[in-house]
Parts: sequence; structure tokens; C-alpha cells
Amino acid sequence: MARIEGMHLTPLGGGDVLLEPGEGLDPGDPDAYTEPLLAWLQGQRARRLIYDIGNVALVDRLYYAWLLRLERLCRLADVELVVVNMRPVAAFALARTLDGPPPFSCALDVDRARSRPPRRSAADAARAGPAGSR
Amino acid sequence: MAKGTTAKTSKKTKTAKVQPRPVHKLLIELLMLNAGRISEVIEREGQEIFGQANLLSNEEITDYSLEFLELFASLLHAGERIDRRGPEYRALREFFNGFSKRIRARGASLDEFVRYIQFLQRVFLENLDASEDVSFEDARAVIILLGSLFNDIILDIFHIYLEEKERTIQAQQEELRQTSAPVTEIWDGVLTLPIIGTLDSSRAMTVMERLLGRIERDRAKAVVMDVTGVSSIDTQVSHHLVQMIRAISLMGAEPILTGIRPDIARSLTSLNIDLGRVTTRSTLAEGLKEAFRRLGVHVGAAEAAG
Repeated sequence: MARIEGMHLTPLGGGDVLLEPGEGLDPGDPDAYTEPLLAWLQGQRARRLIYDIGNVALVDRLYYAWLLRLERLCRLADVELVVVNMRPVAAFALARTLDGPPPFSCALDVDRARSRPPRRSAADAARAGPAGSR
Repeated sequence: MAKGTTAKTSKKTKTAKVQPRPVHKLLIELLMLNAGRISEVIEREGQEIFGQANLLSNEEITDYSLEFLELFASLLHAGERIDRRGPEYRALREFFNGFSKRIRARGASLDEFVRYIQFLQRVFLENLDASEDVSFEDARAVIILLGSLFNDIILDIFHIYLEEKERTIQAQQEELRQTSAPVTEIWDGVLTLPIIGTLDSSRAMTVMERLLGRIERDRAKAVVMDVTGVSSIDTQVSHHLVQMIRAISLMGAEPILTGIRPDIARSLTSLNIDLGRVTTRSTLAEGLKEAFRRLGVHVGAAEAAG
């Protein structure tokens, strides 16, 4: 298990990494996390980052902005971001503020997130060539 | 000369004018002198109003009549001015509240109660009319006191009645809300939510809260929302639908929208609502098939035995 200030990171195997935000996480300062997190994900050859949001009671605009920033970071590293364990109250409040669907995936819990078929990465897509071509 | 006589007579009349008696004492006197008659008349009228319709038994009518007279007498004994916050007035108000509740529970209307109160007022006035030593001023004071007292009681009971009605209506609305959008687990991990009627903000919030709670509790993988019973759709309703679909996705379940009738589809397109990323199926049955397909469940006719 690795630790970046404010978050616990646990490699789950198969390219899956679990991120548990701690109390010290400051969603208002995403720059503090991007570089070390990206370096760590790349070092782990991560394919999927499972973000456990179960301890977050309310996902406000600031927190949602942090998740968007994290998703962009993951996309750069060709990692799929899956948010899990969102509380009903948080989902209820967030759904009322969103203008469109979030760019990240959501799953009920870690097991469900891991049982999802992995998203085809950019590298896979490049290797396979254009869809439908022979 | 004549002028002087008139002036003297007028002066005499003024000095002979009797000061009006305190109204409460007058009424107490009236009650004490005519207690038997008043009680008898009240009972008789009570039997006519409530007894014929089997709303109260004769014993109950007698008990209520006596209790009313007792409470009314103690209110009068409390002083000339009726204190609306005093225990005597509150006791009388409580008495009528309990009385009206009992007769309404047995099918009486508020009209019958009001008729009875008006009758009680009339009984005192009629007895007042019969007594010869009551001056015009006395009678006027009694009428004012009785009028204000009984009107206040009618108003109080009316307010209580309205509050009860309001509570009943709210309870019925809540019940209707609960039953008009029942969240049912139709299969392991598959929830269905048929929406019937109009989806206003308050109802959307209630439904969404319950639905999200059920997704968490039942660990739902798919939610089939059926809008066949939605009568019409406007910007607000479509907005609520989209929010519900979004919230389901945020919880990690798959939303499937079914039963979009052609007129609803037309409204959605004209309102520029993009359901492009939402799985839709024409009927609830098709939606369920889709949910089962995603879960890897196959539902089909069993092969004939033998």
C-alpha cells in the first residue's frame, strides 16, 4: 500500500488500483496530487483506478471538480476511473447539480467495479486499428 | 311651565336608571333559577339532533348536557370578563372539541355541531326573555357575551376541523405518492419503478430518495423505470427524469427507461432532452429482458416434460 498525503492507494492486481481518500485530502488543491499520483499509477502499470467515495457525505461542486481533474489525469495515463460506493444522499445531491453525465464510470462497490470488463485502452485501440477494418 | 315639567321628569328618569348587573352574575342567576328546565331543553334538543341519527345515546346526551352546564357555570364563576387563556375557557373548548370529534367520528357533519351550539345560545336567550326583571342593557350584555363566546368556540372547532382535514389530505397524498411509484425488486439485482401520473418536484424527490436507498440496500445492478403511466411531460418532468437516471448511474446501477409513448417522445425531442446515452426500450417487458441480458440471466419457456 502506498500513501500520498491525503489518500491511500492499494494495488488490487490485474492493473486495478484502489484509491481511498482520507481526511487530509484537499480537493481544492488538485495540483498537489497530480504529479505524484500520475507517477505512482504509471509505476504500477495501472489500468483502472477505483475511487472509493463511501466516506464522502456530500459531493459538492468543489469535490466534483476534483473528480473531473482526476479523470482527465487518468485519461492521460490511459487509466479508467471508476467511482464506487457513492452514498444515496451524495448521488441525489450530485445528480441535481450536474448538467451532463459524468465522464467517469460508477459502480456500486469495489467488487462490482473489478468485475466490469476493462475499458479498451488507447493503446489497445491503436494496436487493433480502425474498428471494422480487416 | 310645560318645559320645566319635562325637564324634571327627564332628570327623574336619569336618576332612577338601574345600573346593569354584571353579565356573568346575571347568567349564573339564570342558570341557578332555571337549571332543571335548561338542562331538560338541552337534552331534548340534543336527542332531536343527535339521537335520531344514532350519533349519541340518550345517556351520552345527558352526560354531555350536564358536563356542558357545569363547565359553563365554572366559566361564569371565574369572573366578568372571559379569559380566553384561562383554564375554565380551555376546559370548555376541550369539551366541545372532544364532543365534535366524537359525533364526527360517528358520521355527523360540522353543520350538526354548529346547529347544536346555536341552539345552546338560544336556550339562554329564551330563558332570559322569560325573566321579567332583566333590563334591556342586561339583555344586550348577555347577547354580546353569549354571541362572542359561542362564536369563538365554533371558530376554534372549525380550525381544528380544518387542521384535521389538512392532515388527512396530506396523509392521503403521501400514501398516493408511495403507491403510485412503488420500487420493486423483480429479480435479484433488478429493480422496477413504474411511474404513474405527474412527476412534480416534491414527488420526484421522494421517489428518487427511496429508489437510491433501495439500490444501496438491494445492491441493484439495473433499474427499469417505466413511464407508460406518465400522463404528460414538460420541461420540469423531463428534468426530473434525467436527474433520476443520472443518480441511478452515479450509484453504479444501469438505468433502463421504458414505455415512452409517441406523444411523450415528441415532447422530449421538442424540449431538446437528450436521452442518447440512456438505454431505452419500448415496453416494461423489453426493459426487463434487457436487464436480464445484462445480468446474464436467460428467461424462456421451459421445455415440455417428457
